[in-house]
Amino acid sequence: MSNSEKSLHPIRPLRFYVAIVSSLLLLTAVSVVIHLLELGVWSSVLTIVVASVQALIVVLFSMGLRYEKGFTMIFVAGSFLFLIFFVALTLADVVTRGDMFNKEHRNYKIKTPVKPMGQGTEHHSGEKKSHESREH
Amino acid sequence: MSDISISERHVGHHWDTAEQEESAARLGMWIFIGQEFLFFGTLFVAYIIFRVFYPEMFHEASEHLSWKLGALNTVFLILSSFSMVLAIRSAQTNKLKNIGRYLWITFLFALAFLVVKGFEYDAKIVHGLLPSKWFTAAGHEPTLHLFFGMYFAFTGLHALHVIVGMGLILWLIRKANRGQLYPGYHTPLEMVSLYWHTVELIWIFLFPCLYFVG
Repeated sequence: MSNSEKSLHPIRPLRFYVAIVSSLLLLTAVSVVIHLLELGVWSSVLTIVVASVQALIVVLFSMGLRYEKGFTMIFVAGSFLFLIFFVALTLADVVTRGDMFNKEHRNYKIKTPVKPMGQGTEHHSGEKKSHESREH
Repeated sequence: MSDISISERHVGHHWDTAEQEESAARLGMWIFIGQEFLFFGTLFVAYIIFRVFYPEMFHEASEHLSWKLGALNTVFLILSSFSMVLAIRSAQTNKLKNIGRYLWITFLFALAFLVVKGFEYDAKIVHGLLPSKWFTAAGHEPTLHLFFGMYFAFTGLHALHVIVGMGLILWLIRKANRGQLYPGYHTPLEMVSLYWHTVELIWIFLFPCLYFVG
């Protein structure tokens, strides 16, 4: 039995890697075309879909996840699953807020204007002093 | 032929076999990569929140970015990953001199990526788009600084990963020149390759998110 069959990362023909790199480059071109077509919201959705396909190619074939052991898969699938939870729950929140900000006259102050960093630093140093004096 | 070199190679005393050693290294690397997904995931979540809140602002911000430079950088990273797998293939097929050559090509593509990024950063800073107290750009949208805060956090962390990867590639080149990578043992090459693909992977998502907004 040759080593290439035993190893987790067997030697593959050159055209396997050429196929990967050319499909990745082709998909990059596809996403540029989608962007230039200016399909509005669909542009964003489709370019993310194309990026996901590229990501799948990289993870499964370039990185060889397809040939990994099941135990490794548990960790990768686990982190991916929690990423999905994170994104899905965030989206479920922010997308369904509706016009709450308009109704409340935006008094949540998320849209704070830029403030130079110098302002308010005196306040912080004062706070620190009072904190120190409390300790003594 | 390669079986001989695998059994001759010195395996760490806490491992039974070279295969066991390699598969443990792989598992550790994949756990690290899973952590990287989650780490960059937090930034993507911040991106989603801001984008849902301020779609008009994102539209304005995208006019400050050149998708051509972003696409060029995508091509650079894809090609650098390609030469990385060719370096592994050279190690597997016992073409030892080619390992260093392909690694240098990978390094140069990474450098080209950083040079393009540097030009982009320079243009942003000149236009007063650097966040915090340096932000002087006057846009129509009062929240424009949020996008560029994210832009610099995202691309800066990614560029940091690229720089670390370049250091690792130089380390591999030294190993290759000393003949420490060969068909029976090239685990460091495989691990850095996994890391490098992760860097590529993150950029694949960053590219449409930052450059294809309009």
